Amino acid sequence: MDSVMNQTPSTTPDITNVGKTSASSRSKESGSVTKRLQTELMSLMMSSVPGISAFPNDGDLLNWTATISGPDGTPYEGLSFKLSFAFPSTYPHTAPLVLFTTPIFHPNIDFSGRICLDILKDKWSPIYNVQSVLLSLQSLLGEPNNSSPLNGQAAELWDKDPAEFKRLVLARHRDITGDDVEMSG
Amino acid sequence: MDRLLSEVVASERCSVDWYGRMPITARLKDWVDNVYNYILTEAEAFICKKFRSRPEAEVEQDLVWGWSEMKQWRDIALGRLGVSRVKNLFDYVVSWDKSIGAILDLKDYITLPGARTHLTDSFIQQLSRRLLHAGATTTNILDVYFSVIHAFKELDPKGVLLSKVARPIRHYLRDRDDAIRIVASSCLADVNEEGDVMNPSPDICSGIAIEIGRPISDFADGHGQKLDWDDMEWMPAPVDAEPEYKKAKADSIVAYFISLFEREEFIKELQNILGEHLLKSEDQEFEKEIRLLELLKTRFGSDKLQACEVMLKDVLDSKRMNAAIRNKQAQGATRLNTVTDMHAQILSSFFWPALREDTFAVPAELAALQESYAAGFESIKSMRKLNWLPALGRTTVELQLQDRHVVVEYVQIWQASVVYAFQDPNAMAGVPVTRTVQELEEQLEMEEPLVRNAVTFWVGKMVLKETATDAFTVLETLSSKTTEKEAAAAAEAAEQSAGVSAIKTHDDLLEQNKELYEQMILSMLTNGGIMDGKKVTMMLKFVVPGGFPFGEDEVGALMRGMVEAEKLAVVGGGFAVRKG
Repeated sequence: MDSVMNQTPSTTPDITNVGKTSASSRSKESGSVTKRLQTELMSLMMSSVPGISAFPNDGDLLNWTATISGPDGTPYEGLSFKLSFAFPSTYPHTAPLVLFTTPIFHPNIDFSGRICLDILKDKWSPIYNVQSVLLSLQSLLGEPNNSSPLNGQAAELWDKDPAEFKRLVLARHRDITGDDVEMSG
Repeated sequence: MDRLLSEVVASERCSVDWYGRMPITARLKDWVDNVYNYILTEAEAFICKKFRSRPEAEVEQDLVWGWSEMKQWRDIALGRLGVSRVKNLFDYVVSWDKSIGAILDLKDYITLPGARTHLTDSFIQQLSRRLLHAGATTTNILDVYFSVIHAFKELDPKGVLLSKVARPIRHYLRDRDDAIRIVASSCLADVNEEGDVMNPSPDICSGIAIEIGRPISDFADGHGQKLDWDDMEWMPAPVDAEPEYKKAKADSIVAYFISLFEREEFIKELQNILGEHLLKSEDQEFEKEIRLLELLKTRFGSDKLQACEVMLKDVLDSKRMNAAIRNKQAQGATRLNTVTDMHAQILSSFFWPALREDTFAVPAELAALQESYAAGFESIKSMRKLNWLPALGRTTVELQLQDRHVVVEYVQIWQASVVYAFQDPNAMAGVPVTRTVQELEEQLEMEEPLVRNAVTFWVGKMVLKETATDAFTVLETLSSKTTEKEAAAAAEAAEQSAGVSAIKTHDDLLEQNKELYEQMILSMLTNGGIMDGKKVTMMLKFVVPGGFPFGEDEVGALMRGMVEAEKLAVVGGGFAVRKG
């Protein structure tokens, strides 16, 4: 639960920021946002890529929970990670806010689950969608960008001491059961 | 004296006038005024004479009954009559309109204080005891509701009583899943000149069908809700009117039924039924359908019925298109044999309900026809392509068997294709052709249910015969023995096989989208954790675009299937993804 508590401060400013920029057009756009998200959900369901999955939270199309499984041949093999997606009302023109809710030890992900990935920041483009974000994150697990780490220790150990890295990954990882996610969401 | 009054009310004299259809209250009042009054005076005089010793003239003065007392007696008599009528009100309503006499009797009764509440309370009680239970069919309830509307409109033209007694019925009908379908199909039922419903079926409420057939002016809602200042008959709303009661003057009876349901739902159902109706209809003019649509347009607004309009326009356009293509083909008379009797219905798929898309190999001749038609179509409407839905077509089949000639009209194309497959040029003369269901499936690329449906159809027509399990042989000669015995069973089978409809049924839809729904349930449970069927249903209703028409039962069955397939596991009252 601690990771969930930590997210809150980071989440709030982002969302309000987005709200301000689009306050005038919000009501008009929220219809198109849900429409877009519904289409994304359908295409996600149709394609059913193994290892990734996502679904809206209870009665709220703007907040999703996603699950990715760690790619084979990486320290994350066999583990599964939950993420939260919060879509601003300007989506897809603005990137969704994506956080790891499962504690993870990774060079580009900090202890509150915040992710350093260019396509979720300045490189975002409306052609990305939930599926492509999830696939990028899955590949980020196997190929971290160690030049701009959020977690310095992890970046250092990744090359130096794979065994220690793996140990810390396993030590940090905890399976969040569905009930926990529900309580936080 | 009191007993006398009761007896008279219960007696033969005051029984319902079933033949004259007139109220008897006038007679009752008359009787109270004259006969009863007389007896009363006499009796009183007698008593007074016996026990008192006053001069006679004085007594007589006393005994002249005042008008107000007379009125009281009258009211008591009417009250007694009313109570006895109310007791059987349900029966009177059911046998509307023969029982109009009884209803008119009550008209006087409800002017008495307290009578209106007694009437509604008692009637609602009778309704819930005798009608609103699982034993009554929906059509039955709709029919009674229809009578209730008529009877109570007669009783109380302002509709206050009606709105009170109708509430439990309406409430109950909304819970019946098939009610909406029955109302919508009743709207489209065929009514002949005498006002009887043609080909009645248990799914059609004849009252609605007849009511829809009334001249359109009856329904026009000319005045709206505006106050009519010239209305000299204006009366304040009755005392027991509800706050939300609005005087709905021109409300037609059909409106009561249509307003039973959510507008969107009704229109959706109407689309389905209209679609099927248009495809099946042999009437090329579609007058009734156009009229119904205009009627509903005034009620719902034309934008809501756009899909229905497009459907109607499609079939009318198709007629023109058929004529145009036929003309074209006739002009290019080089290929004489292509001038045929093929009519196509060109549908704008976007506006039609989900149609049957089963594909199968049609007989070669038919395929050639389709091709030439499609060529004709493309030459008229360039840039458009036809997408054939062979499962929706119908044709006339002529079969030349050894001892007889069979002509069957309005045969579904798949049934025709199946029987066509029994034609084998290589077969030896005299030896009937035999095919198994599996062979047919492969040869025609048809799905099994359709093949079976077609085979039963032809068995019913005494053309095929099941010689071994799943193997069917052409019945080239009919022996007299088999005819009689099998005719009954065959006819029954044919009836059953007729049940495949053009519009996708609920179950078909579920089957078709099963994979998608399963995938959704999987992701839902992966990400949301353990959930029960109720929650999953709710989530599906929330996320599936275009709506999720299934309930908890269907979802439950789907999920149990997934448990059996070892995709899910049951965990503490809910379902969870089984980790592989």
